[in-house]
Amino acid sequence: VLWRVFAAERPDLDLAAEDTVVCRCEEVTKAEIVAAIAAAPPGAEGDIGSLKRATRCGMGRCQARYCGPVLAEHLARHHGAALDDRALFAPRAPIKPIAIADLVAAAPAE
Amino acid sequence: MSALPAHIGTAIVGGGIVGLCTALELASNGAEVLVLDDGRQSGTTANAGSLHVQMQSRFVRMYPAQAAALERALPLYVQAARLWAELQDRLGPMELKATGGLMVAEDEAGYDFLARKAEREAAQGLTTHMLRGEELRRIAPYLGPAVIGAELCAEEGKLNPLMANARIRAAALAAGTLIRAGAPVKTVAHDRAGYVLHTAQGSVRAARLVLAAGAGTGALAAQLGLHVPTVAEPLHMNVTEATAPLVPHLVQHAERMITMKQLAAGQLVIGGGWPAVLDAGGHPTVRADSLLGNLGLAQRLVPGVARLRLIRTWAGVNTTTDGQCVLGAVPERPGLFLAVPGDAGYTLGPLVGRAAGALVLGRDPGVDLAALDPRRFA
Repeated sequence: VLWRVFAAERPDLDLAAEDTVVCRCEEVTKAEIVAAIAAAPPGAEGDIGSLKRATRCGMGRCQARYCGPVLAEHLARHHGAALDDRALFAPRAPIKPIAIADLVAAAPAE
Repeated sequence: MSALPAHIGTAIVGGGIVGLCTALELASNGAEVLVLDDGRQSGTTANAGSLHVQMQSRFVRMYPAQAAALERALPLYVQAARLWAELQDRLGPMELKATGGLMVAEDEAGYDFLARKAEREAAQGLTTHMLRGEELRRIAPYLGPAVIGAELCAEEGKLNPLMANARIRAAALAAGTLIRAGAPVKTVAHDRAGYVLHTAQGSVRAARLVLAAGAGTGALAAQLGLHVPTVAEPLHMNVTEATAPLVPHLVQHAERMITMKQLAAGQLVIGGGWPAVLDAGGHPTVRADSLLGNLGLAQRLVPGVARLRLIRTWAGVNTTTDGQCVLGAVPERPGLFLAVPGDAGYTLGPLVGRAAGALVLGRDPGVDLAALDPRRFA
């Protein structure tokens, strides 16, 4: 229930204007996303990892919680990407941002 | 995805920094080039962006047998840093900055080690200075009280590998390079007409072959009867949330594994050699003990990072050999060239790639190849 109540809005990228900010953390606009997809090598247009590396979308504080699903849907609809377990960016520790001091304090002694 | 050509002048196996720079050198000179890479794009772009020039103490400590070779190779690093600056001037911004690199010491023994190292490095043409007390705090007020002194190497700094790879890849493509990702090379064979490569996307015949596949080079060279011990070293890296400018330098430690630098976007990248692991599919992935050990050390050296949140970790593969590049032609196999930086591969990538391209073109590689012969392991 909590997942549903707090689910992020998943707006349709097709409805967005060119200057709409898709990734708020890294301030990446729809126009930059579209340009990066157009510049991708043949066959790699639908690769979300390459799109991230080209634009920095999803590389900020929220780690793609908002832009990730929007981009995955867009790439699936227009560029043949599969909506499978590789549709989003690869999940990595720490899953949720944690202050370095808190991580180190919780670590077992060396 | 367009099919592989049946024939190509030069095939390059490996589309990382070395393969891309080799391709750029060749294609810019009118040669016909195909780059084959096993990943989803050419190059993993997992590098953390350190511009290494001084000897990394982790290599001196972990591989003492390689120390002499590393020291002899130092002038190459100075040359490589200059080449990176030329590349940025030519291809556009890559956030490359020679901000200087500080290797810090926490005790007198570490400081003495650095002082001796700085002298030997100066003899090899590096710009090094020893700093302590007020003098050190003036240029690096972010260092914590545990740091008693540091070696500054002026040629060191940082760059953004995401931007650098994208620009070099785009320039290589614009010059006519063909790049095929998702095309791991399964077998390679040599006959009178050249090389036949069987890949996941079909086969291609190449008159000349450049092996620039990092840690994968050894297995391919073995198929051609050449012993090159390339070893995959999976490494762990961390990145924090963005913050105001805090750490301008590349920061390392005299005795412990760490590199720290701040990206133009404000995020701090913390790595420096803590181990990662290869998963069942051979992909590098992170380790909790490396995460904690690496960050604990970072926080002690630069207390300002304690309040920053870690937002992500990742892993990449460094390639080690004997401390020196494996670079050159193999006369017994006409048309075969190897291009593997033995250490700090990303920093050396453009230098090694340009040299490999020049060798294929029959030109001066601009590097003394005597100690780098691919046949030295036989």
